[in-house]
Amino acid sequence: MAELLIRTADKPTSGSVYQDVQRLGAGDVVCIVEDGHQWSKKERENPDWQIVVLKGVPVAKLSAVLAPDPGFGDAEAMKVNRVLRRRAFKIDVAALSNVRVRDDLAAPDKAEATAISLVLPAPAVRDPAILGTDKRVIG
Amino acid sequence: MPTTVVNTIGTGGDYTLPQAWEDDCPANLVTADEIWRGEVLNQEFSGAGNRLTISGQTTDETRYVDLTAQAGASFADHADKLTNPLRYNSAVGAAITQSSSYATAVIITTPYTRISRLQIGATGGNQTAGLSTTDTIIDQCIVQGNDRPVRMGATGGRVF
Repeated sequence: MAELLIRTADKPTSGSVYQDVQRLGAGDVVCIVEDGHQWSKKERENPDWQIVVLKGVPVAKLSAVLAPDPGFGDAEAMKVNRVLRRRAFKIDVAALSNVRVRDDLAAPDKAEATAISLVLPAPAVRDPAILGTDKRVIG
Repeated sequence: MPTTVVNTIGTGGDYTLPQAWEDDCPANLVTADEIWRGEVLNQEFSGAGNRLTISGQTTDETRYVDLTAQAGASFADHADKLTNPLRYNSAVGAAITQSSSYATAVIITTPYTRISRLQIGATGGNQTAGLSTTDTIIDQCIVQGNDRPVRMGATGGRVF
């Protein structure tokens, strides 16, 4: 049974796409724990985080939301592809403000399907140094 | 002179999970003029898949991310430290481990990060690693993995 700690706000941009893809942003799941976890005061009160309790949903069912792009963390792979994302999936945080969605997430018989429906592929990030993404750059 | 911001990590601490501590770190430690230090309590953080990623922060040589064990919580503080086998054993101090194949317990891509006095393990099958790092100072840690304990980038790091 799972509880998700989700970022609801982006971090400030650094001015570098390569660095920003390594930061968690709105919709990224920070961590997943078994339900009943005793969150600390800082974790409960952080305005950039939201804790979502999913009754009856095993942690393993949602572990993919923590997955990075394949190769993330491998220095050699990150030299070849500099826009590998820290999270390949996001949670639709806008939907979390919908009362019906919140009710469904709290209902053990609907929580799993609802939670999975909120998982979105993270948007692709273009490498500005690759031909075609920035007209000023060739090569 | 940078301010060192110290938070404890673990049950009853400022953050209950290392990843929450990392995510609350200022994005730019240079402009914040801070060292972001996490002190892990004497417990094991375990599970399937990557347990902690430290990445994306703007840092320099004097303002960086620093993860260590709280005083008294490390295997290096254990009463039998001189005779304990030098291998991963969460019973003797703060530890982070993961159990999936093709996964790494701790990934660090933020330059100048320091990690010390911790045990890091990986028990999964193929391609598991304890620690994947670039430009990191690793000091007084036990890192153990079924496949490879440490995967270090070409720009390297320093191991003490």
